[in-house]
Amino acid sequence: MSFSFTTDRKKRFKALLQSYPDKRSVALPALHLAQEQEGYLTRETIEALAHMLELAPADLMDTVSFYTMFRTRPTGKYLLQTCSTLACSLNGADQLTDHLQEKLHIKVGETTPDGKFTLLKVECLGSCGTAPVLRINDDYHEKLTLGKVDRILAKLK
Amino acid sequence: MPLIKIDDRELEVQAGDKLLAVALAAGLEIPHYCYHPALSVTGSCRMCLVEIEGMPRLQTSCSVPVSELPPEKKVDGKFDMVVHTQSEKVVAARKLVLEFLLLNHPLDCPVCDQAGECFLQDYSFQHGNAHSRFIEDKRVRANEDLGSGVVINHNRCIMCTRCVRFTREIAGTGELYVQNRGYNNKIAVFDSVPLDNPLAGNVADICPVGALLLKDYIHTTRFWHLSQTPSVCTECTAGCNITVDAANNKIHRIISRVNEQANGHFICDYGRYAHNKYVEATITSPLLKVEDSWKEVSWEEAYQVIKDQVVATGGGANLRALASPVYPNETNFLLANLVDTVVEKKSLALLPIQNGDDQTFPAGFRISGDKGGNRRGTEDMTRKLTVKPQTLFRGDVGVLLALDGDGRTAIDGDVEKLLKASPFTVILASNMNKFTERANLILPVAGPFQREGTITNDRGLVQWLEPALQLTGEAKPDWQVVAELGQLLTGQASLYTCAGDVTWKISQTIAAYSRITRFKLGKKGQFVQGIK
Ligand code: SF4
Ligand code: SF4
Ligand code: FES
Repeated sequence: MSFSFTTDRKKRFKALLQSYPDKRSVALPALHLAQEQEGYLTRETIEALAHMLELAPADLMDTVSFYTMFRTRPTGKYLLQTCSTLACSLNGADQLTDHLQEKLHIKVGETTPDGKFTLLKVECLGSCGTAPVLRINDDYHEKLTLGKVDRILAKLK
Repeated sequence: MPLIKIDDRELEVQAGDKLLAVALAAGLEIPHYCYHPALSVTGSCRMCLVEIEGMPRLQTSCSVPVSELPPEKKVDGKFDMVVHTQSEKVVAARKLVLEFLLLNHPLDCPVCDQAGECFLQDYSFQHGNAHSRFIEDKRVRANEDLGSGVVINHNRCIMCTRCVRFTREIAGTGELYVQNRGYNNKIAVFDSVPLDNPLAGNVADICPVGALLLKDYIHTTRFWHLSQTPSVCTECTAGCNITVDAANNKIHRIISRVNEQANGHFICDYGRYAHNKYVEATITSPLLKVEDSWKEVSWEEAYQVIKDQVVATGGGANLRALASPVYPNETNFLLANLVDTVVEKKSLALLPIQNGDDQTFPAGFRISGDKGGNRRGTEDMTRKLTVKPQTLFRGDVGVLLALDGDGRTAIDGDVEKLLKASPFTVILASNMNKFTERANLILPVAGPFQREGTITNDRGLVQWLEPALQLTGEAKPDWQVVAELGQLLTGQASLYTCAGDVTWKISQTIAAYSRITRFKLGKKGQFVQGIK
């Protein structure tokens, strides 16, 4: 399966090329753009992007694998990310993660068989003041308790 | 120009040059891993930390450029930078950096091929702590085959990224990358697309530790058993500088040797593994073809046969000769001299050698398509006498004296006709190949890595070819056999006692080589005259 940007994203990609000094510098925004379109980054996508940016695929993969927000495997409709860093940990993030694992019957890194939820544990989400936090796709849910989490999950269709 | 002080050395240096580069050029030692003079600077290993007066924290000397200060700001009224490489702070920092680098390192020097030439060993010994405070389990990973004969031992890797930068900047192929980050990072190839370029072996040379290994060399010997001979590759006309590592008259590996006026820092894999081509079928005694099989004869018998054949085929006047671009200048010069003395008309040509397209890499490294390593020198030595091969098989063809092409001979139509026309072919060679098979008599001479003398690369750089291996069996130095043949056919005594004597004679005879003598060449060579 070869990758190409949709018409609209192709325009955005072209605009990106204009606003950076060289093609290499477009790597990050281009990867975000591709992930936004595809959900995750396949080998083919990375190869195609590398070609567009005149980089070796391995060179681009260097960047992809460095940042945890780039995904190379399919994720469920809802991507749940709990924080594993200090403030959240002190405020019960580990219990939160355990709770999600039990409730969804999956381990960290896995996706529910119905393809609805993927659970990940990530480094600092940058919201220590409202610990513990859970990020669901692009939304933050803050100052969580186990009860609150249950109510939030119940609302997700 | 900025004036700087490193410990108690005062140096005037170019503004903009990096501190570490400046120090190394001045012969000062600052330990470093990720810095490599031919690669971009990343400043990631922290080994090169130094203290610079006026700067609050220790600095990575590899990435700090030297600049000029305005007069009123100069340190001690005159210095633009004052650097300490041995202060208490620096010494303490080095210990910590090494402790970090060794956290997950297996300390398996006793079975590591790098032991004895490893910067992790050396720096740990010179600058490190004898103890580590790390009591947790070490991270353990299996070795991986990266392709192109290169294997990685992840546990020994210190993540200096020299290898990654090499594939991106020098080879231009970019197969290697740093996968993941932090504790999980490792050197990897993209989705099992292997390391695949003709310069790949260099990554093992530049890896400062025992992480990148050449399959060909793993566990074959120990570094301290090797004798290291500085020499030159003759596999193509680029003339890269190499170090030939041998033990017990067997080559274990070839590594690159730095020479900015030739190859720079690297060599190609054809040159790196060239020795493997020549191990089989070494000719160790003169061989006379008798009814389609080879019979070992003595040198006296061999020379007698040549003399008889020359007489039987109309004498020296009908002699034909093929000089060879894989042999040093000395051998070709003596062959040209012989022909010049014995034959009245021009009757020498160059043996045709495989020739293809040059391969040039992004940072300028070049593999020449011309596999006749000493083509330029051979032409210089024989210029007065050389004719096109097709003129050699015209007229009365007598004995053909040829130097071999180490299996790289391109036996074309002309050579074919010449071989057919010649009633008796004598080939000086070290290994059996398609060309030597055609001889009536083979004289065993020094082979690749046994030859001694000068060779001239395609840019006009003359370099000394230092033999790394001793001759085996009855074989003699190639220049000596040609000198003896000269004696045999001209009746004049040979004046030469070593290859260097012939080099001197060349300097007396060929204007462009008038400044070339064995000792003036040193390890870096000299350009022929008329070339910058
Ligand atoms: S394999 Fe060697 S050269 Fe590559 S990063 Fe590791 S230590 Fe450096
Ligand atoms: S480029 Fe030519 S001279 Fe250099 S190592 Fe390769 S074959 Fe030898
Ligand atoms: S050599 Fe300077 S940081 Fe590695």
